[in-house]
Amino acid sequence: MLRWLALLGALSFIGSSVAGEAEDKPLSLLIAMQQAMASLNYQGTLAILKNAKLDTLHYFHTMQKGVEQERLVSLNSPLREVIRDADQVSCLFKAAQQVVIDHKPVGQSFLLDLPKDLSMLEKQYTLAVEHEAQVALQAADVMLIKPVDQFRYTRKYWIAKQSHLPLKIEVQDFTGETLEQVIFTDLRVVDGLTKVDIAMADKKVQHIHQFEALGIEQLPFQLHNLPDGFEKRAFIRTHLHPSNKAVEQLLLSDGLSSVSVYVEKNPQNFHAGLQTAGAVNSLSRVIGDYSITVLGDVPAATVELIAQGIVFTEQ
Amino acid sequence: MTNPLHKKVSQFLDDDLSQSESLHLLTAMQQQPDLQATMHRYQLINQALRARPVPVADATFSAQITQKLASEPVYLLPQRRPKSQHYKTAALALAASITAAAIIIPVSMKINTEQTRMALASTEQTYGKLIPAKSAQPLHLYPVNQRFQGYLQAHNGSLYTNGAADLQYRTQLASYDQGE
Repeated sequence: MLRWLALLGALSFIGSSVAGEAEDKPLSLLIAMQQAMASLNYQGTLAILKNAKLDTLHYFHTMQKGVEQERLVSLNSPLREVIRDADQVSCLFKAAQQVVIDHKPVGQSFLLDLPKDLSMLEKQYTLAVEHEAQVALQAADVMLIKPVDQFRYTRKYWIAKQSHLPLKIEVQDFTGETLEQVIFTDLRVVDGLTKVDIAMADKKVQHIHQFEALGIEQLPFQLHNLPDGFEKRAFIRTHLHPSNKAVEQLLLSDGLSSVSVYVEKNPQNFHAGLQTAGAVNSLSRVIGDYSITVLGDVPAATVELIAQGIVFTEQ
Repeated sequence: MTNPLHKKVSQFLDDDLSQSESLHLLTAMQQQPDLQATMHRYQLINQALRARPVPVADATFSAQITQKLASEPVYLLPQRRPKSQHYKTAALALAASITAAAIIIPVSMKINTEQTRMALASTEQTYGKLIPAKSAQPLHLYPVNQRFQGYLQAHNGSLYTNGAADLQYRTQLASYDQGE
């Protein structure tokens, strides 16, 4: 009973903060969505279309005693269960009975990432609530987050009117073509959800992307062409999976779009050039003894511009 | 147009009858005034369809023609074409399709590159940079290499949400002038 009351309280708080203002104040709606995503316990069936590949998964989100957990259970091969606890992602591959534990420098939601201070988005994007629509039999406000320049993609969120959870998320290019789509075919707030741990016993456990924080001040290069709004978030040394090769990774973000700059010394079999997979573009080039690859969920123009402006401070 | 001779009249007007068939039809017309009237009607229709000047007839005549046309079922005759023309058309269509594919496929493959040019051109004043012309060299398709997969996985962990065992994206890899 207490849980239900707490849930109702949370919903009414979120609702009251935006009551009657959603259509006039897109930022308020975005804040409500962010709060709902973090604070509610909910589950649903998720269809993810990325890189021309469709996958369907069960999605669970729990918040217990201030600890957030996301869990995905695949419905198709390869069968897997993925759990994210903050910046650590554990993936159980059921057929191989193998657990991969992925260490991330920053926590990344399976659904979408938003900056803590959402108002910063307004510098690089225009926010607008377009119209109403139905997704998964729920009424939703359709929010358009459009970049002010061509260095990032447009985002479109279908935000449930009742729970303020995102029912559908799209990444679109300049022409409005959908590059990625995440959509709930059903989504409901469930009070009784509890955290789950992957049982490690009798399973092969592999840790990947274990990293060493280097600090921005150790960056061996300068970025002369960083589009407005992108900031350096972390500089780490990590190991690629599955090659286990050590690389240095600089994380850049404008709050919504993220870019990684990878640096390798004396790389073997390195292909310089532009690669594209769905919304992700990467551009690789060789500078002296180093290879650099700029990769991110941004247009090709952005990775190319950033890569062009990289100058090593020492060779 | 159930009468086969009516069909012949239409073919005759379209110049689709052989010489012997034409002679046979003209002989039949001499003996059948009804057939002559049919030919006149078809001639009028033919002229109207080809927007040729049609002599203005009085209202009664037009009404009669309209009445006759109304009772005439619509019949779309296939055009008789010499065999060689069919082959020519097919060859032309095939050539056109190949040409279109040759244009469309590289264009669609280059969309991102074109967008790069557009975006950089629009922000040239801000950044004072130009994309080197050499970077617009022809694109080639390669399977995603292991390094790209590694980078992608380290960047956003997409393998967990987007399948792990079957990451065989097809991507574009453009030859690129390093400009150093």
